[in-house]
Amino acid sequence: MSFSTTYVDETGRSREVSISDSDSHEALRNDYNALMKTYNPKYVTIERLQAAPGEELHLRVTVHAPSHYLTSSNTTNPQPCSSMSVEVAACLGYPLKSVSAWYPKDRFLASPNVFRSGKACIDRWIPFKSSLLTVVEKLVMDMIHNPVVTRYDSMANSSVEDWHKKNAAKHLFPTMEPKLLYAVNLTPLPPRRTAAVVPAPQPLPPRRR
Amino acid sequence: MDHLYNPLKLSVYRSLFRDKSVLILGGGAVGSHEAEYAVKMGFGRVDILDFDTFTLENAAKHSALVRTPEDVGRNKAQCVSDRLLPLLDEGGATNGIDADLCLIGPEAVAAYDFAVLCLDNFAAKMLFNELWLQIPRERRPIVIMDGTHDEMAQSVMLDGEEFCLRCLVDESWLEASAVRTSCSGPQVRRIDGEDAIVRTSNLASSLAAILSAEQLRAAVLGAPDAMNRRLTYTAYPHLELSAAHPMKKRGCPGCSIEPPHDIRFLPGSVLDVTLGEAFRAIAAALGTKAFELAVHRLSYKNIVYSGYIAEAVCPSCGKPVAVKKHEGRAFHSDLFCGECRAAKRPPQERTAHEEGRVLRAFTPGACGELLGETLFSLGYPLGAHLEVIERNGALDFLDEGKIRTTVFAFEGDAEKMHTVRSL
Repeated sequence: MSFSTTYVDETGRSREVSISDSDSHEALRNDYNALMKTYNPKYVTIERLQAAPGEELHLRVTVHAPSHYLTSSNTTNPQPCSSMSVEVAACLGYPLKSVSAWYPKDRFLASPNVFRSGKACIDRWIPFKSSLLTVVEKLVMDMIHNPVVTRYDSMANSSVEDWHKKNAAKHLFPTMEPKLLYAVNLTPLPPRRTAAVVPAPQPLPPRRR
Repeated sequence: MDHLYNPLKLSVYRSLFRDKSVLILGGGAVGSHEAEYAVKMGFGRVDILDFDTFTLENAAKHSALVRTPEDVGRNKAQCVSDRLLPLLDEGGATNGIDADLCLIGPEAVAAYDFAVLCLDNFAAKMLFNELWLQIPRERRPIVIMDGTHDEMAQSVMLDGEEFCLRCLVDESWLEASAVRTSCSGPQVRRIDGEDAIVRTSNLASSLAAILSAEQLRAAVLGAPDAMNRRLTYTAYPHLELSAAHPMKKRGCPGCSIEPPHDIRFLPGSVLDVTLGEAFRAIAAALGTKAFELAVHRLSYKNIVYSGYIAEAVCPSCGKPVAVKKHEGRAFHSDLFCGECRAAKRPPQERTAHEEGRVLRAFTPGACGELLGETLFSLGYPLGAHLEVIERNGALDFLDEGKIRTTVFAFEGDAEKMHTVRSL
């Protein structure tokens, strides 16, 4: 059994792509491995959870940074917290099929892009552009309330729109410097090349009169 | 019972056809002719599958089996099958099934010796290719695909060993694969960026059926070099009949489809067995209750539908809606609550739409409310392959070597194809 979809390549030509189950697993494994190298474990931890029926991979992503949450679908008053967790699941057919993400129903992120049921809105899934990495990137940025990723034009929870905009205008959001979330690039730089000593040129002969 | 026909006036090899069965997919301009020829050749079983109905505007193209105007409005498959009854020789049988191809699975196709595709769109042909290639090689029927293009008629016979149906199709045709492109009336087709009406005559349609019937006969008689050949009849500018040997397409996605290594059969049929009964039968076969049954995967028109929508969120008012339908059988209107659907309210603008509760697998413990539903109503087609996954303590797919997948099918599905009138 294969999964197929039509996607538009960089030249604007639409092409049909089919992937097998093993292709899907390979793509998911590669993206999981890349994800584990992307973030600084001091601020972002990623753990594997028991996959539910029909799921291939189930992750919990926790951001250890100031954030805000809501406790039920009726509440509109965000509560501050020092860490926030979201669960992400991928099923067979990835990366042609989208991943899904959600917060616990009683402790979900106060964000215009999170439904009151706790489900995270992950935007339109575009095969070969969207991936586990791009989704987690958006979720992590949303958890520090970085307004760069907030879509006010496609609201999932409009009750926190004003609150979010106000704090963004006061520069309270994002709640921490986003670049700190990423892993330090540990690839060593090549050794500095020492400049070769060039001998001084011979003095010119005296000018003839 | 006496023979209907005088044996002395029939072909000497007619008896070879008596124990052969053929499934004709599509009962329209080509399919109605094909069914007529198959019955007259002496096939023991001729079944037809089609979801469409006869209309007066296409009456000039159908076989004379179809009566005008009495049969207008009747389902094509059932009507053609009924009209074949007086032509059946001793021991012959026919059935017309009012259904589309999405409602049948690989084991339904495997019930026949031959399958003839008289379909008018590539999406359906590619779906059939998927079903066909999921059948283990030793049980795969021989497939004949025909079609017309203006006044040209064509038929290809293949056994799946050298190339598949997808190899015969240009990938660019699949961009709008559901557009009807063949033989059932004036159709609009894009040629060089321009919309053009495609016209096909009764002669082209019946010739396509004759070419297919000729290939059917060659396959039954075991004619050498008949397999994996394409016959093409061209009317204009020169009358011409040619034969060619199509080639395998490089990197063909269809050819990469492999049948399951092992299929275990359970008693009953997808149409009758409930989810609870299936769980009990699978548990007895596997010796464990720790498994999950993957929701049916339907690959159609470049989309794979692999979820069962238990609950949706109304895109208009946001209320939860109990949908209880497979993704491939649900329409957009099913996602609206009754009130919004009746008032034809549009989806909310400037609001993201929530997915709802979509199941990817059924488990014995977690699907209490669905245990009484038949597998067919849960989205499994007649003749489905059911994928059962045992995790054996694996956290996820990264725990390699622990997860085991077993494919099950139902013994009674093949027989149902010969008796069921609609799906």
